Amino acid sequence: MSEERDILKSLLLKEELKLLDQIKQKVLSEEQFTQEVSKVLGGAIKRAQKEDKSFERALSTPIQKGVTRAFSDNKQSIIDGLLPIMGQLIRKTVANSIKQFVADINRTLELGFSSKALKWRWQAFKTDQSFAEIVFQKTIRYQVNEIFLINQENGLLIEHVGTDDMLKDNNAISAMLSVIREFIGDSLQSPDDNLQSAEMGDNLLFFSHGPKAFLVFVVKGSPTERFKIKAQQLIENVHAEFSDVLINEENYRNNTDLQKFLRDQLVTKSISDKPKKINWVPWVVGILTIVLALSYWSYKRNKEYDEMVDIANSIGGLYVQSMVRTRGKFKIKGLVDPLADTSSLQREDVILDTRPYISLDDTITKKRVEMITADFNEVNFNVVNQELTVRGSILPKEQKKFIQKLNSIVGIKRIKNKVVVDNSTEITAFFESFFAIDKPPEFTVSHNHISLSGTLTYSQYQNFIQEIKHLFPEINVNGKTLTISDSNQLLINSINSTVINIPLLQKKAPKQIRLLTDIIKINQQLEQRGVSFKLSIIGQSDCYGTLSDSYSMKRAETIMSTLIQSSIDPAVVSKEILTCNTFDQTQNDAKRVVSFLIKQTEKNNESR
Amino acid sequence: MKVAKKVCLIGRFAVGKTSLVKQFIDKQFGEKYKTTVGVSISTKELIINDTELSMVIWDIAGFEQDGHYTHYLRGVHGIIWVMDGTEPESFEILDIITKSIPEITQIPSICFINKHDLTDEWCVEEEHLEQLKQLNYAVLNCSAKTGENVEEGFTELAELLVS
Ligand SMILES: Nc1nc2c(ncn2[C@@H]2O[C@H](COP(=O)(O)OP(=O)(O)OP(=O)(O)O)[C@@H](O)[C@H]2O)c(=O)[nH]1
Ligand SMILES: [Mg+2]
Repeated sequence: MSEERDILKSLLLKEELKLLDQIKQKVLSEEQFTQEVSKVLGGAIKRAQKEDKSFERALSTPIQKGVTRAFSDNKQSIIDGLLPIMGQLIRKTVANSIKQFVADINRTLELGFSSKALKWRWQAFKTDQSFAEIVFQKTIRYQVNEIFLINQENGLLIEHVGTDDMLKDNNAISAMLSVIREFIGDSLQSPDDNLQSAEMGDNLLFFSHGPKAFLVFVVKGSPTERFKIKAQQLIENVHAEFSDVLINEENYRNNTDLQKFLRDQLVTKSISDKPKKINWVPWVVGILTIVLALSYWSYKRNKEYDEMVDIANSIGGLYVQSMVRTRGKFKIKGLVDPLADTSSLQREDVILDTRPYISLDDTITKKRVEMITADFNEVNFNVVNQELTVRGSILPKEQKKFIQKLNSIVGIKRIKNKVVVDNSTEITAFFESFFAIDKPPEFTVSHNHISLSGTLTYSQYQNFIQEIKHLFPEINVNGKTLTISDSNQLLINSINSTVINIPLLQKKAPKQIRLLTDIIKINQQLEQRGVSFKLSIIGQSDCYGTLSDSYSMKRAETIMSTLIQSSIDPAVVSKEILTCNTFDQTQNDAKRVVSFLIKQTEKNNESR
Repeated sequence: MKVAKKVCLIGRFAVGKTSLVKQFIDKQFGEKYKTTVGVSISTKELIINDTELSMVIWDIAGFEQDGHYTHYLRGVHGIIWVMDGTEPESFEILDIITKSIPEITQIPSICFINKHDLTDEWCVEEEHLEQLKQLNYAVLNCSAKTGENVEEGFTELAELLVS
């Protein structure tokens, strides 16, 4: 029975059954369905949002619920995400509402229950506005005549609304305002306060800052606290509602909604009964003044910076790696030698962030030299291009230490040592001990130099020279003003003035012997002193007799042989006679004599 | 369409930045040198292929020693490099600034080599031109005094700005 019914069904509904089967298949294949929907979902939402006004409304409830759910399910991660901005937000909101609250209370109290106040309360009731709002509107004591919305970054004008359409070249003014803003921001340094102001002629400029753009309000009169709060809120609103304008420069000065929004913020209610048009002359003069001030400020700032660079660079031993200026302070980062004199940077506006290093700068090396060699008072230095020149004098005992110290100084490539060793004390001591005699010669001593004056014997002098040269090899002795009591010349003179009377040829009298002994001694002395000489022995007689001249010769011969026997070098002596006719009787009583004549043959060094 | 663009002049002191702007805007030239302090701003309206361009020209004081110009350069759309053809040292600015702000080379720029009227003192070295060529900037010999190539240079940059 049921079989038949099935056959009938298939005969009657064949096509429909097939279709039904297909639909069933399709619906069941959920996977496939989701895939297809996901392809069009984005486009569909966009379109719905554009075309169907109710779409957003319809979505808002599930989204709200979803978000609430997400909060309760996933509290911690959402809090973590929001935390950085929450703190700021809360602080700002609290501060703003307190300010606003105080301002409203003040104004309301001021008004009390005067008849005017009662009237305004009635108005508030009628128009469904808060009383504070009405009070605000009625007590405005200022005008906002121009509003500029300016790109925070490059100073381009995004929008301008104002009462004076005569204002030309808004673009330039906008750029200038951005420079002014920078100037105020820099000089006031109040990061917490987003509203800053500057006076300009009769007007006040209020700047309120946002991340992409800032607003400048040109205000006449004295704005209330409430205006300032509103000014801050406004820039936030601009960012929220017109962000597409802010980010696309092609939309600048081209958005009627933004224009209208800003125009609504102008406060043009007249302050006094007689409305006054803003005079742009002071405006322009004001701008100029500010630009000049700004120029001066920027000039001064650059100059200060340059001066600081100069100061830092002039400090030997300070190597500046970077110098930045933040919050009115110069932060100098670099390397500094412990010997560098950084006192010129010990200032309130300078923060030094340095690490130690050894500078090879000449000025620092010089300091190092000075420090290391502080014990040597008589020495002075100069360091040029890492070359150290030393002058002055040191004591002999210090010499070794001194050289060691010089060699240990870092930063020196070459040393020119022109220091002399001052041995005057030693020389003096030696001198005094050497001449422990009654009448020592006088002397003056300076480095390696001694001058003598007074009288010494030849041998005393010779011994002195020998000893002192032994002890002080470098010494230079000056004896020009010294008298040698037995100089060569004196010896020679004494021989030359000796006349020995020899009446008989064979026998010698004691006086003759003494004189001869003297001559021999002097001869030996001269020989010892290295003096080369020739000794002529001159025999003489008068002409009373026939054999006078031959006897003269014999006399000379006798003396000569005596001298040779007494070990006088035969090569040195010679004999001769003075013929009797040249004999000068008046000169000498003795008529039969021998005299001597020494002639120095070579110039000798020690000729004294 | 109407657009405003920020253009900065960069160059060593006394290369003639202010003079070039004055020549471009007022067609005037003064021999006397008054150094710019801080920044001086002027605008010029141009029409480039149906676009009304308002060029906001920032004439920044000659950059010499420090980095204070950087905040003036924020958000700049076009750069005019100015060198002095009689002063080889004035070319060094290019190297100094591109080293400290490398991304500046990506900004549309042209380069004026100014004072071309001073033919006797003209001394542009090959290596400098080479350096400029590498950056693909249009380089124009110009004179703020005679007006040679001044308008052309500014217009060239304007075209880069609206294209
Ligand atoms: N001969 C000649 N002189 C020029 C030219 N351009 C500028 N000058 C002169 O060069 C000097 C400096 O010109 P400015 O335009 O003030 O230079 P600047 O680059 O603005 O200088 P700062 O503001 O100090 O950075 C002035 O004396 C000008 O007269 C030129 O093309 N030819
Ligand atoms: Mg200038």
